[in-house]
Amino acid sequence: MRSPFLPLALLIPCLLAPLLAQETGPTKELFMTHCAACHGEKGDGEGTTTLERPARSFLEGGFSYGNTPEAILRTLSYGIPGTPMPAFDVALTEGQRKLLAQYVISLGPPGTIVDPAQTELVVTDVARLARGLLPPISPTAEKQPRGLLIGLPSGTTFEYRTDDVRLLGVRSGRFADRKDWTGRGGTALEPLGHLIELIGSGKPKAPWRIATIGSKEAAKELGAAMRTSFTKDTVGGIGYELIDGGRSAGMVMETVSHVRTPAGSGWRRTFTIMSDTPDKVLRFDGLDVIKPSDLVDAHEVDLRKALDGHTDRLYGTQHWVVRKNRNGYQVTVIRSMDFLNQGGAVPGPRGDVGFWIYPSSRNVTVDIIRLTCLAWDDATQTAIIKECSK
Amino acid sequence: MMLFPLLLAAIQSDVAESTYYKLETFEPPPGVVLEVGGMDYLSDGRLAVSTRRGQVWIVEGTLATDTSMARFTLFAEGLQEGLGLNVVNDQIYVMQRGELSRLLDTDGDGRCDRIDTISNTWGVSGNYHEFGFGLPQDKQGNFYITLNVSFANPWWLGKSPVPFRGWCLQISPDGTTRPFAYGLRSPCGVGTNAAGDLFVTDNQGDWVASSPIYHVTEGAFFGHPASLMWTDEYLSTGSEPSYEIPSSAASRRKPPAIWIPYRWSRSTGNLTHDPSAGKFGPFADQLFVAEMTNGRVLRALLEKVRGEYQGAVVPFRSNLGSACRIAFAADGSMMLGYTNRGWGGRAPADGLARLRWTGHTPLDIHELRLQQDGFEISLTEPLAKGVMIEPSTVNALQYDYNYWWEYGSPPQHLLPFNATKVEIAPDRKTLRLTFAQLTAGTCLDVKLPGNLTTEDGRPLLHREFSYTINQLPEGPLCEEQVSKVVPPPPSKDNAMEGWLRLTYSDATALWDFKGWRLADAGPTKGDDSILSLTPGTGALVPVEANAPFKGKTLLADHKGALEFQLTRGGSAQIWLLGQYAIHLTDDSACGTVAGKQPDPAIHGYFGKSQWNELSWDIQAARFDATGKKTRDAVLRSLRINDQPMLENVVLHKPDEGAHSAHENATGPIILTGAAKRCAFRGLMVQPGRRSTPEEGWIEVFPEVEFDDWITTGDAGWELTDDGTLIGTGKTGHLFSKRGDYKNFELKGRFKINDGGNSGFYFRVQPIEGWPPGYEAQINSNFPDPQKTGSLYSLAPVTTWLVPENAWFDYEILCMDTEAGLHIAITINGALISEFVDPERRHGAGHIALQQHHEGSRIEAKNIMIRILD
Repeated sequence: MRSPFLPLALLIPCLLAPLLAQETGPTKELFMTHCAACHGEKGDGEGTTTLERPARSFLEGGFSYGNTPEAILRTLSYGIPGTPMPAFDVALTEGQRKLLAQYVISLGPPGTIVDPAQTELVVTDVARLARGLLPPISPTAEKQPRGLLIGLPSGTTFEYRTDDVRLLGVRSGRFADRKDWTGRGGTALEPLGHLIELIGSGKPKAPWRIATIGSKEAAKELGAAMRTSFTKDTVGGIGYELIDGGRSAGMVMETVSHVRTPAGSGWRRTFTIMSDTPDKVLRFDGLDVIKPSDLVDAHEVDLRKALDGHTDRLYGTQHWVVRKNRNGYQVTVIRSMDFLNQGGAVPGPRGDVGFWIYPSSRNVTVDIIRLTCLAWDDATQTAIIKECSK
Repeated sequence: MMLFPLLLAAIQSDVAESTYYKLETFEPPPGVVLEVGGMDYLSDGRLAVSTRRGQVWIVEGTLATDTSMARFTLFAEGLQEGLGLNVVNDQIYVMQRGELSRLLDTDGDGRCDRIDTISNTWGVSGNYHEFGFGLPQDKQGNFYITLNVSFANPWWLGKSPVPFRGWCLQISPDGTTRPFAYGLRSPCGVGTNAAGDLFVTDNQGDWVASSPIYHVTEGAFFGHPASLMWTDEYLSTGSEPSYEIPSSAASRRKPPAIWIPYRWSRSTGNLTHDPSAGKFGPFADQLFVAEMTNGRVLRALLEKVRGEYQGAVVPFRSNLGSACRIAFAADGSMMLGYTNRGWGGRAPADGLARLRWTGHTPLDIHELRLQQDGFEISLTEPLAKGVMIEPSTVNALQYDYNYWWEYGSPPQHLLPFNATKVEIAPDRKTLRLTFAQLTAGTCLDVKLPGNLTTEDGRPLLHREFSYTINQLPEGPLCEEQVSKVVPPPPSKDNAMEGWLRLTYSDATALWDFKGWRLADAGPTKGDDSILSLTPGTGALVPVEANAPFKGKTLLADHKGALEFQLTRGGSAQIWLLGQYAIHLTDDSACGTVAGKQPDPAIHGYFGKSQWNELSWDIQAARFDATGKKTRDAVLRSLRINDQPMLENVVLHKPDEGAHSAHENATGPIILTGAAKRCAFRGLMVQPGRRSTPEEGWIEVFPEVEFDDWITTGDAGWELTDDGTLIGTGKTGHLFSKRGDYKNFELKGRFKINDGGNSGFYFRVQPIEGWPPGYEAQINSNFPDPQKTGSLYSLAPVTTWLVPENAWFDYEILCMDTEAGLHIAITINGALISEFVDPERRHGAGHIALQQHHEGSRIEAKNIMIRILD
């Protein structure tokens, strides 16, 4: 016989819906002001803003980036990197964001809230690391027996393999399920986030190369050996040694963090390179090459000019590459405080998302920031410059 | 009657051990499953524990009298297993599957926030079995790790697909990593003895006859061939070592210092020495060995004979739990870390416990020294003045092993004998045993008599030891090893040929029963005379005394095998052909048939609360046409745990209580037993060949018609030179040319691959799609519940009778009768399903073979038909 009782988890949204309907005067207003343009007045994803990939319809439930109140609150607070969903942490108070989270859940079908499995690893207020066998990140990729996930409180997860230290992709959403706890050892650690960035279709090439100054020989691929991994508050990172034919060609500390602006959100990789190879030059190509046809804009920004004197202690430049994709405008910023110094890092030609490091007796720091914005205009640029100058 | 004193002795032994070494269990935080993989102490007395689940816990208060005072704090998580841990200068080093790491807490908040990679220069292919173990350090600060071989295809043969699987590696403090020793299989334990020498335990399996303890020295090869892949010899030629034929390296194997008998260890954990200078009792500096399956700790008594370590293993403490890791605390307590990861170790399968010496010294074997003609044994306590030892009461069993790819080796060349002389020294603490002859290259299990007591009447706590005699003290050096190179056994591909797994997956579908339960079964806490049942499918257990669990399959001559477990004092019977009982009892009479008891000198039965393997070979009685018996049934052999217990026992008549009043040539297997005091699993039979008419068989797919076979779909069909038909590729069917088969007997041999699915059709029409006709299903483990033996949709068989990749014989009878079309399906000579189709839904038709889906591979041969129209 079928049980006349619905499980409690299914009932809660049913109970909440009428409750919210009565109390949602101000909440609905919030929704109309901040969400409806993309998600539609009814939350059906039919907003007035034109998006190539429509915004989430809340009516269908099934949130890609997590469907618990906590997960939706996180999405509202941090935005969804790789999509036009911005961060509302400045525009809205936490209380407002919580109300909105409940509201959009109430729009969906009942029973969409799933209890996280006991084996689920959750990132709360500090970044965390998880190592394990990773399933193939794409249909054409291989499983990774030495995988490393760095999960940030924003819901952003960086997925590496540590054998030769390569970033495979970036995810957004829940962190990971320790399914590898089950069975005898062949089950994969399952990343739960939605893939927002896939490097080299899941088979990334060596991100670092080395060339001899004055030599006509092509730059040579460098190996890499994992040396450390770490978390500090909301950021995580790895350290690795670059290997040139069995010998060290430098150390790289790579920190990963979340970036949020009112215009859009995304991620940041900060490289600190310690290399003592006076006659060599290092080249980083850790991101996919942008097709010229997708290129919208590429230019240098002088930070002193851009921030109009408010940044006396700042110098350096940013190299901007903007491309249009189905989610809006993907902005990549390559930034170094050392650009104006002799021997600093310089980006490649227009549209290039790599950079060169010239010999230096001291450490060189380079940031790569990538975020997705709905529009590409002055306001967006200012917002990003502000963020990138932090 | 023997039974009572034996049982009493067993009970006494359990109680006795705990009066000297008390087990106390820690309670981890609620919801935490602590599968311990490594343990070591920080200088402030806190214990660091790494787990299989990739966590590191810091435990405070492990030395407090009250174990509930211990406090667990999570230090790190998200590691890829932690199966070795060492604290060096108060920094925690953990051996993960993929790297040796140093875990640091840089901001002092008690949580690890930095993981330094010390080394990761070995291969990890992703195979489930590629565990990495550790983590002792030598005087120079070098770490030692061991890397498990991979087990993939086929599952039982260890391979080394990526560098250094099967090796021990040395890692210097700066991370420099070099291969150190090789030939390892599943080397779960790495440790040092009091002298700082390195020892590794391995687990029995392919090429490893029983669980060994190796003394690891640089460059040593221990015998498992997979690791040879990464030697210069194999790298330079690019060749792969043979997994079935002993390599030339076999002759330079370094023999184990100790072979632990299989009955004492099936999954050996780590080993460590007692540094407590007496705080843990009388065994200071000796090596202790963790054991998971049986849940015990053993002692390894090593000595150097002719420059090399060898010695004996003796039981120390039983009934503990799945002990995978042991470590000593400053107060001399032994910490026990439990893990079994689904390998079926003794409960509890996870957690942390400690063994404390109660301060009473047991009468036990303290040390052993091999002599040319016997042993000098020192005891922990003097024997009572009146004790005399009659040499004939000192029983010894000499044996050796096979070095082969078979999974483990039963002891070979068993030779029981007794001591010829026993002297007790004036101090009454030293025994001198003399034997007529000791032989190098053998193991010797010795059992002392039961009358050895102290003056105040305490009995010798452990009467048995097993000594590995690689060399005798004098005479020419022995070239032979205990584990001897023998011709390879038959290929394992055929090992399951002809067998039927009658309780596999759906354990009860082919049985009639009531008063039995399918559940997980283990000893009840505090009372090992009764099984505790929890939801699961691990065992078949009677819950009503002597309720029958009766097979639906009638058998005549057959071989059979199963696993059984008895509680303390438990008993069970296996009724062969429903008529002849094998009596299983928790004592040395275990395996008695027709009043014949096995020889108690041959240790077969492992004892209570452990899974034991039983196998038999029975020939049924023969009767003439009038029903008169012409020959008695014979139990050709009975083995327990691979030990021959009985041979050629004539079964004159059915036993009392037999299922059938009359003796028959066929009958089912029936299990009975004391309620909740016995459990069974893994019942398989291999029916003997039936005699079938030789005449009138014709080929269904004759080679001459190869060019104009009828096919549908996109499958690929080929005929090999030896007449095997192979179907691969996408979905499709192959039909016989003739399509008028109506009443017939049909037979063929088939083999389906892992995940494959096929079918043997008859009375079928050759049309596209799934063709209409009767289908005898061929499916070992494809996720369709109808398995091999099913008449598809009409008479499903849900038990996974036939394993994948094993040839089996199908015989199908298809015959019109008044009631309908009678179809009988026989596998490997046993009738599995019968069905009468009153609708006669398919008329005369073709015979066909199915190729179900891409990835499936069906092999068939000898497809023959005998027309019965």
